[in-house]
Amino acid sequence: MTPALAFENVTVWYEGSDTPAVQGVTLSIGDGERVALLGNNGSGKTTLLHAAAGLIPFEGRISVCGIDADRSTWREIRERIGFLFATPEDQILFPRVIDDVAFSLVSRGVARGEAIRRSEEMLAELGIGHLADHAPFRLSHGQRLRVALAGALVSRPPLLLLDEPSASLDPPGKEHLIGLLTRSRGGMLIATHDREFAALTCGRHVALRDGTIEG
Amino acid sequence: MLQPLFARPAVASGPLLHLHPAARLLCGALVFLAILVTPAALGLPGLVLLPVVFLFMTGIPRRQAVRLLLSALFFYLPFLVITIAAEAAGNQSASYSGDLLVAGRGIAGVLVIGGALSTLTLADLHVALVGLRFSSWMALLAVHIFHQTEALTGETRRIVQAITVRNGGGSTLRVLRSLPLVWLPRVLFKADRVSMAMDVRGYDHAWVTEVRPWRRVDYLGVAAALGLVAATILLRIAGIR
Repeated sequence: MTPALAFENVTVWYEGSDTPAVQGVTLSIGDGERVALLGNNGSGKTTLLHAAAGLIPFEGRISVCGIDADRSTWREIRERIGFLFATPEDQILFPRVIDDVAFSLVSRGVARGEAIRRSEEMLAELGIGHLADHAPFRLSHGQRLRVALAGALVSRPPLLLLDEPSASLDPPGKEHLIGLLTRSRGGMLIATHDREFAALTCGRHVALRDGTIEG
Repeated sequence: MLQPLFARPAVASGPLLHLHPAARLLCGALVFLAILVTPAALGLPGLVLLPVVFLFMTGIPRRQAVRLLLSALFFYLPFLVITIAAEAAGNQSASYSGDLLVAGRGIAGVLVIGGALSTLTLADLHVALVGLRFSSWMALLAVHIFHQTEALTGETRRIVQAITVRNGGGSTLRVLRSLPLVWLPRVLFKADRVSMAMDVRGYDHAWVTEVRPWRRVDYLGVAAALGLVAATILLRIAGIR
């Protein structure tokens, strides 16, 4: 079966640094498998997620849903990815919550009416249906996180890359999210510090330390 | 002045809010034009009446209207003081009515444009620009500029708060002096992150906005504003300068 995401001996260097941020990572995430990426600050979790979405250059091989990542395939790959950044407000690009969520569908060719309907459903699933008409910058950090999550989840992508999705969520919000993620069918790589959240959401845990996989 | 644009619901709540967003914007632009054309013979009362009536139509809250007036005064009072001082220095018998009229038109213009914007959320602005047949790309760019301005404003506010707290009892001057040093790298870093997000989310794809049809009341509103412009032009043609 084709894995949702595969890293093969992946190394990432940041410009001007003497040591790699990620070194020789080999990891495969099966279709529908949920994997937690655990590690301290600076261990390389976010770097690995960014490499998987083609946001930073890397050495080695990355493939998403069987498509080898290179300059010519990033667009195709990104259509199969739902990405949540660690700072959610950076990825909210529209002045109305519903438009921002619907954009993820419209950019994948879904008609606007259908995109709005599905986005409303997703917002309701995340418990923020009442915020559909709000301006994102008037929301709290936790609410913005859920809006960004809705944008990542709404297209039901085969691969979700989530950077600290449970950060700043209140307990009900976290419960909502755990329910939603465990019901989702796609593969997931979740970078998190939250061990309890990881235990409740993911079937496999991978620990990163100084850019390499432990154990 | 940008604040009203981002509020949800829109700050204003007057009759103008019943019009299509494009019609609201168009009415504001036409009343602004009428202010520019209004004959000088009508004097300042003419220039006061137009923005007051327009602001009433927008239903902008009094507090916002006062803020708008203060920002207009902030822009135009220095100009007025400088030109009057310059003329007084050069010519003892100078008349200041021309200067007053320019400043009056400027202040009235700011009030009208600010009032029109107070009836729009940023999402409305997008609908308005598309409704006014701006290309989808240009409308999106305009909205994105405002959207990111709001993001930067928030970032700046957080930086100022952090510097103020960490500065302890230090002076405001020290806060202002250290702001650019902290602000610039933060903003560059943020721009980098936003550009990454745009890449991942495929922002280069066209965004299809909601297209709302115009109703009779929208045409009537724009026709009334057009009538106002026509009336001011007719007054000029009739010799009233």
